[in-house]
Amino acid sequence: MANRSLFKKKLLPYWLILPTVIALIIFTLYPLVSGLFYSFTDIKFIGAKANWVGLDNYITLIKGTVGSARFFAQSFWQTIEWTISVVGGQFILGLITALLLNRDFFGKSAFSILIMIPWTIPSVVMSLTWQWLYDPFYGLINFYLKKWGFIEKYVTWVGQPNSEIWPQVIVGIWRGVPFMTLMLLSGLKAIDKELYEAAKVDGANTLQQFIHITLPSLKTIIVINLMLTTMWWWNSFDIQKIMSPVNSLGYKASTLPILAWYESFQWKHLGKGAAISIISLLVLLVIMIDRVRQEMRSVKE
Amino acid sequence: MVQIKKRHLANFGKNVLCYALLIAITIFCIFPIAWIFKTSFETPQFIRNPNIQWIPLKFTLENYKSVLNNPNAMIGKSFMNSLIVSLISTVISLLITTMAGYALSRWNFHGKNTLNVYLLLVNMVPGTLILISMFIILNKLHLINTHIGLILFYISTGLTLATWMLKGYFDSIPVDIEEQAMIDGADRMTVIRKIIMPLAAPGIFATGAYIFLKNWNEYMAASTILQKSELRTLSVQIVNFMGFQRVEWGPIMAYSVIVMIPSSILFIIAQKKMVAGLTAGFSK
Repeated sequence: MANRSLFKKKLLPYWLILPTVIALIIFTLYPLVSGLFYSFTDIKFIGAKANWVGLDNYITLIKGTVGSARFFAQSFWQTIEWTISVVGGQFILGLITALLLNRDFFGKSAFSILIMIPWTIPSVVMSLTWQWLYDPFYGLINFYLKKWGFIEKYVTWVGQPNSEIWPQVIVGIWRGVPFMTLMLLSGLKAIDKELYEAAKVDGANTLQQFIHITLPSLKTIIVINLMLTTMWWWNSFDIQKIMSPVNSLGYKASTLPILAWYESFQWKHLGKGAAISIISLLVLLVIMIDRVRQEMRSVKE
Repeated sequence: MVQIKKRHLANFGKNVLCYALLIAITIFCIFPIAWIFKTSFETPQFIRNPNIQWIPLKFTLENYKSVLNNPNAMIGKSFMNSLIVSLISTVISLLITTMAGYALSRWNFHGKNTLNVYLLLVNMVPGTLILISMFIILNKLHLINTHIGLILFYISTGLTLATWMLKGYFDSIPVDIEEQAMIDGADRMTVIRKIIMPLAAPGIFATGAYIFLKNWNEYMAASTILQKSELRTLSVQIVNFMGFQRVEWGPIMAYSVIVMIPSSILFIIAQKKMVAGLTAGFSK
């Protein structure tokens, strides 16, 4: 497309991207580089001096026994658990929903709109609402779980220093199902219906059709989807922050973004907070390395 | 005959199963929303009811009145703060990135793929990292506790996504349209203004809506950069209000309804286009 004569004027594209490039340098590259720099310093809080300490912050985090270092390993593994379970849960539910909505049936558009709703709620409102649903005294979830015999007495699900992360995972899944469904549905609609007709003639059953036609056709969109949501949910903040105990020093259900925020803004160690964020970024990079490589490869072409 | 009947029966069974599954998923998706509305219309004594009922026992608007009149809720002020901050940051992001999105879609130029890789990388950077260094920079510029400070942060997070999505939308407009117009003698600026922009308008709107909603709902930076109550945006104010209320769920849920209705409407209007843009931008 780009080789066509009309688009050969050499300078115009450079002028067009110039504002974005300048803005990217000022607003993203500069903060990124200075964040990296601060992770090698002992800066406490704004206004304090930043002395170069090399890898000290990183070493303290990994080997230390006081402050945020006590929670680092736990938050690290919890971030992985959190991301896998939230993205995985969203994916499975989203795929089922997309397959169901891809059929023709009565009331289809009503279902589609209702299922979209969790995506439209501000994340803060969502977190507060789920906190209310999990309420240890008058919460809806406790009520039904007890009524149906899953629990004997009411449980305090969230908001305690020793609360588990699983109740929050449910909220993350709830939040992400609509987006997954929409993405996968757009992929399903693009599949040629004749493929299924042909398979039926050949005597393939529904499961075989799903494995040999649906999944391969969806491959690209599934990969894109998982990459995008992994990036987002790895760095997710609002649910874990709002459903956590107020101003608590390290709690069981925290993930790296939460730990970095507390370290930086509650305990006022911006340098160490930056180091936590950098480690978090590096791990995410490793997870996403295939995608990055793919982009790099197209650089050479 | 028997065969056909069997198949009908199997089909019927399949349909019932599908409906049942779909209804279960739908209930999972909407029961919290129903509960928000129900709680917001319920009196405090029945909110603290050991039994769950889905229709308010004694319908009341008291919760809404108490939110609107409560000086700690500051709903009007916070609403304006959110509007100003989100709108300005969105408009600036769009103004800068629309041109870049068009260029990325239409030309191969030196450094294009470096830019693509960079956009992908920036999307992975934890918000906390940007917030930490922005916080230090804003402090040097005396912009902590100002809306300008928060707007600068939102521009930083909005740039990459906007460029990404806009490129996707421009990709979906066939290049032949421009070529034909230019063969017919129109110059490029006219083509961009008269043909491309109107065609891209829905995409630009969807991108704008996405960035706007992201900023409107943003919590981490807003709660960190803005400490003064009269500056707070809605998402921070509602959490803060909850602290004041000592878990009076009625007013909090009424507040939630007021906060979520405008953004949900915008979301539902723009959602289809937003999904298309995100997919296209990422798959290139």
